[in-house]
Amino acid sequence: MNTIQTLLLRDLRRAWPLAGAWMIFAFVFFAYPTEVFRSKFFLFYEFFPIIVWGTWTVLLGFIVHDALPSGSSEFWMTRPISGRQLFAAKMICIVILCVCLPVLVMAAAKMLGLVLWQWLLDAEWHLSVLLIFPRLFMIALSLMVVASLTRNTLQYLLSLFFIGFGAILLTAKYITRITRITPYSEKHTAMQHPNLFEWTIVTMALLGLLFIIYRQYTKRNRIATLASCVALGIVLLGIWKMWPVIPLD
Amino acid sequence: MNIMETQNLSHTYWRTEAVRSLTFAIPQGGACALLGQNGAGKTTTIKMLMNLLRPTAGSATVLGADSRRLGPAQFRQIGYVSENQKTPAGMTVRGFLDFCRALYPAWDKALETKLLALFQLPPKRKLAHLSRGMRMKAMLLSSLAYRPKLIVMDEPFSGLDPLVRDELTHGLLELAGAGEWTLLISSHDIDDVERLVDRTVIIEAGKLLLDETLESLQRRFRRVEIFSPQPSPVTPPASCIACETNNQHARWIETQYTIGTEHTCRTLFPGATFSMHPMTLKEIYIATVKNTAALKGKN
Repeated sequence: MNTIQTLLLRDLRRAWPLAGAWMIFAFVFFAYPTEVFRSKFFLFYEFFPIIVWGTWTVLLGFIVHDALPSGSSEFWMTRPISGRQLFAAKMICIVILCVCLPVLVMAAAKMLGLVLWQWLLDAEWHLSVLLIFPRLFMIALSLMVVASLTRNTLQYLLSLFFIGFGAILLTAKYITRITRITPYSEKHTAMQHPNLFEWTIVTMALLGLLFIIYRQYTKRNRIATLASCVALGIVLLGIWKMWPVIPLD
Repeated sequence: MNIMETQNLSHTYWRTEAVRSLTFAIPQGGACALLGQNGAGKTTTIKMLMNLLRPTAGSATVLGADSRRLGPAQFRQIGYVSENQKTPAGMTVRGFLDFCRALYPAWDKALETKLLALFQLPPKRKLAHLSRGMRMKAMLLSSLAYRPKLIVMDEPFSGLDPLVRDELTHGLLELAGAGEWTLLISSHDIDDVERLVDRTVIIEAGKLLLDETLESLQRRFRRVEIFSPQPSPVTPPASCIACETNNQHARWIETQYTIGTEHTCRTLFPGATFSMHPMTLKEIYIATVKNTAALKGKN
């Protein structure tokens, strides 16, 4: 416990300036009523999400790259720090800074926006803030896998760019064949129990990613991690394919 | 009792065999130099011993534990310093030492203060802003202050100026007098290493070439020079390497020197003048490696 605490405090101390900057961006982004300001500050609203989520992505990479679970030259690997302890410390740090903090900032900003601008476009905003937690955690874990397999921030960001680009291409070309879901414009089917489907996917992804990251920190085997990621992707796509659909025609 | 032992240790990178069936042992309290040319497999061997790389065959034990299972319990007793190791660059020297202190229950604050003064490290400066030599000193300090049982150093002197090398060696020698420790050091600066070690392991192309105590090596290696007054062909004994001969003058390295060697030479070359000089570890290393390369070339 003492080692986890030492590692966590060190990470929090190092990441605090970047997390603080992110908090300010995010607070401004979430607090202002988009619909009102978008017409006036078009450029600001076009680029602000990129700045907010870009900083968040860099923050996550910064936390992971400080002590990588791959390679053979990391400082922690020859110190009395086990992979398990490092995993626990990094996970707590990421949950605090990259999951809880965004949710808190979002909630605080929306509450402030509500008071300042009498803004309540989304009547169930408090529910949407809570529901974002597992989704944000899932995205954070996915980025953590990429960060743990890359050596520096540049490599990490480039990998994310190529993965994102590849995913868009794959989705555009093959997703209708794989999942039997027709494009929105020519929709002939609808998914049964869409909420259950989403939660199944999110839960499976969360459990799978946690296991993959834990294995990478304890076994430090990049090839096994990559293979596990591919396997998890196949399982999730399989669930998607098998999920019952209702014909709309 | 051996503090470190390897049994047919091997590692292959893709199709390149970096280390082949390496077997050697370092007894407790010993100081061993791991020598070899660039690419001989020294760093790979050390990385396998420190559980940074998995052996593709064979095994190694460090402090009684399988090297593949080394964990916090063993690393509390191991000090590892390597030129390849990343340092937590964003931390100040003080912050770095505070961080390390929290990880080691046996951390000796008095020794930390002593070494900090000896190495003249600026506590408030960030590690990223230190010179390479200063960073190595900080790493060495953080690896010695808990009085580890085993110190493993991979090229600690590489790229350092002679003054810093001397300071590092002094720091190590000072500690050597303070307690029971075992040292494994890999370096190309053999003159500095010679002051520290009592055993030498030489590897060549991943294979063990020599594993012997420094005392025994220096006892059996001699540089021999013979001057014969009459021109006559000189044929050196079979145990000699690096032979250079002309009509009256001959030079070689005797690898099996004993008290009787001089007498044998006098019998073989009557009337000749002899000189037999002890050799440094560096000279012995160069002669051994050159001889192996020459034999390989012949085959």
